[in-house]
Amino acid sequence: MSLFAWVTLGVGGLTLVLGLLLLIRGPSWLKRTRPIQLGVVALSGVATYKLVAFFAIAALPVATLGAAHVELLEGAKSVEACAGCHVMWPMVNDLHDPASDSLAARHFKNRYIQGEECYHCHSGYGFNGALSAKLEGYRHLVRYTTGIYQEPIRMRGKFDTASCLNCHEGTRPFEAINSHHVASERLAEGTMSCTNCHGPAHPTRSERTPGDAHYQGLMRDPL
Amino acid sequence: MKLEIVLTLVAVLIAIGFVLSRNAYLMGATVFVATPLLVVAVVYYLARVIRELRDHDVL
Repeated sequence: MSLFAWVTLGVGGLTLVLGLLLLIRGPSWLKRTRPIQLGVVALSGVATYKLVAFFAIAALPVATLGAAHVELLEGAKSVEACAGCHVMWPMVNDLHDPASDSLAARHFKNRYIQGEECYHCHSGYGFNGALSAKLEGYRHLVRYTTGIYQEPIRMRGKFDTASCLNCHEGTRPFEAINSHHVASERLAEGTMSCTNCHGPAHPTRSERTPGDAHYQGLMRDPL
Repeated sequence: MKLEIVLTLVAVLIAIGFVLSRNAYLMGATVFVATPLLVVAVVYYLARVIRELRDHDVL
């Protein structure tokens, strides 16, 4: 577990204890207590109650939820997080399949990307890229948890070729291929995609449709 | 202050549940249920604090 997960558990646990104490024993219990000496400050019963209430209702829960959100956003980068939704199982199974020749599987088995493989290709670079990937993640979450989607899923919009070029452009193997220079303008404009020649990136929609020979193998739980 | 405490406890329980058992539904509950509940609780709490400060002529 990450640091933020531990913070969520620790601070959240403390919030639960304080909250339950206030709820079960009631405010009169703290208001009746004798003044508590904190260094040079003496807290009356009412002041103690207000201080405990501030921590139980505002400070600690905000810290708990804040840590949970950081954990959620950082954890969402992992392949396991993507595999948390069954609609992504075909992509994850294919990614890990050494026999697969899809673009994603080739990147995985050659270790072109070291971890967080889905996030690397499906988020743009820089702050805007990270922000739009997170907003897109929230949209996916709404659609998945409310069931507003159709299987097999399809990608919304076009894949940003800049995500490929950011790593490949300028490398020796890339520059050695003449067709890359011929297509460079169309790739930059977005009228041509890398997958036109090197695709498909993932199992096709027909392979992800019930009845297809690949369907059962792709739909097993990868976790 | 019972309402604020209950809302807070529910929100924190959901967040703890998500950290212990990561799945899309608890992730969704943390974002779309727990966070709004906590916002409501904090707003109610702040309104109470401001009201009390006004009663004591501090604000």
